[in-house]
Amino acid sequence: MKSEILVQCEHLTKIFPGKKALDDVNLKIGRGKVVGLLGPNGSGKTTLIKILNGLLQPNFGSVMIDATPIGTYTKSQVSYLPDKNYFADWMTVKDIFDLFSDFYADFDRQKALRMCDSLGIGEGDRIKSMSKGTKEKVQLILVMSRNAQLYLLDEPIAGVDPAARDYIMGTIINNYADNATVVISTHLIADIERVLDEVIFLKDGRIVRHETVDELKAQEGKSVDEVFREEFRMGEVR
Amino acid sequence: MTGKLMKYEFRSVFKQIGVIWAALPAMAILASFTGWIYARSALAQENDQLLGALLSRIPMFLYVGLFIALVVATLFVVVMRFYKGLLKEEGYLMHTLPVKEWQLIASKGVTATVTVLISMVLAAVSIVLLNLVGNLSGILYFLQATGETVQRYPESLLYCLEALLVVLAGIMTEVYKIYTSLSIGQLMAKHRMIWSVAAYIGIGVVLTLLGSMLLTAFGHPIMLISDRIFTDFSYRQIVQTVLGTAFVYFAVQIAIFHVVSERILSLKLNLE
Repeated sequence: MKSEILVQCEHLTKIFPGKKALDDVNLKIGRGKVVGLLGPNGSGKTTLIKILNGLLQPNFGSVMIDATPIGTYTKSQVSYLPDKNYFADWMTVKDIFDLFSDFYADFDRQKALRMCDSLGIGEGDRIKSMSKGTKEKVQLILVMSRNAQLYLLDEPIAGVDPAARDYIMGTIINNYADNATVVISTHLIADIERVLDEVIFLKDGRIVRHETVDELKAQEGKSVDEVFREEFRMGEVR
Repeated sequence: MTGKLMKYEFRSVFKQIGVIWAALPAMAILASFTGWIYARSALAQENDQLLGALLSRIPMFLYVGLFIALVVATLFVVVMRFYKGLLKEEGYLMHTLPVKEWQLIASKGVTATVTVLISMVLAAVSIVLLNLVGNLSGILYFLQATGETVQRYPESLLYCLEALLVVLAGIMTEVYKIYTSLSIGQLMAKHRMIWSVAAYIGIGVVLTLLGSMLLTAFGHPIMLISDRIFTDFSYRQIVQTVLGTAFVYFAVQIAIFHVVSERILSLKLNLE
């Protein structure tokens, strides 16, 4: 019997030279949710996601995914979309599909092929010759073709045009595994608000709000985007 | 999982350096052939010597260019497969695979070692191939003499195998020294490559100092019996002691470099 809590952080703290990126973060995320990890640039979103992926080690505190400390098991259960392009130049689409098939038992190659096919991308296509946007789409296809327990998507819609945003959001919402949780980090709230079940507001490395979208709307009588803008309003320069 | 990682490393290496590996021996044979043709034809047509000499030298120039490219590309692949693969953007993929950090490092270490060995063997073979055409009998004689020696002294095969192991360990030590230097360099916020070079030099200085200390500690007792070494011990004992000591010396360094790199990347990974 699996625990209802999928992600649990206790007193999580990460300090970089001259900056506390995460400050005593306590967090529980359940299963089967779409969660918005929201905050302005430098609020600690990417740091939290990197810790959940094992790319960074916290200075203090603990993290568990599926009741297991971060390690090879949790990595096999997490599907991660970084805000960087991680392909090697020498690879073709087939090479990267082979790699995912070899290392992730939950990778659905046929699904990935169908999604690439719909974009006119073939298995023999070289990554090197693709545009930045196509590389990002292939990376998203790989991530969403896994039947993972947790999807961690770091700024998936940052820096893309509105049409591409629709494609990205559609791909995410239509393809995540049953009972899986999707964590989307962004500061572009309006584009993802409609798909969110829960929101986490991160400010200066601390969680200032964590509630369901319905609760937030009932309390504030405003959209998530409006509440976000109020919460993170900066002094205007005149 | 380490085997699967190595499969991708080898695939990457072949795509980057495979053309040079294939071209070098081919160019050596061509250079040997054109040289042989020139030597024969020049005697017959003395008026065309200059043109003939130039034409016959082109494959040789290309061979030298390929030889230099092989050395540079091998070093480049050893450094870049670790640097770009684990410390730059590609690291976001590799460090989130469900494998241990030591497996990532070991797969790259083994692949890089084999890559250097293949390049060294191909370089040596290509030099032999340069004299292939017109000198086939000499090469065959050398191979025949080698075969006879092995038949007469079968233990020489064992020595060769042991020597090969020591060479492999020596290559791997250098590879891991580069990895440890890069791992230290990535700890810095800026100028990581410069810091990596500084770390490489620093490690070299420390190893030299340690080597001097070991030589001081063990060199004197060995000197005391130096005049009796060849009378009290057989050649087999001497060779095996030297090879065994060298192997242990390299193995200890590999283990230390591996642990240091693994700990740094596990606890202090600082992806760009």
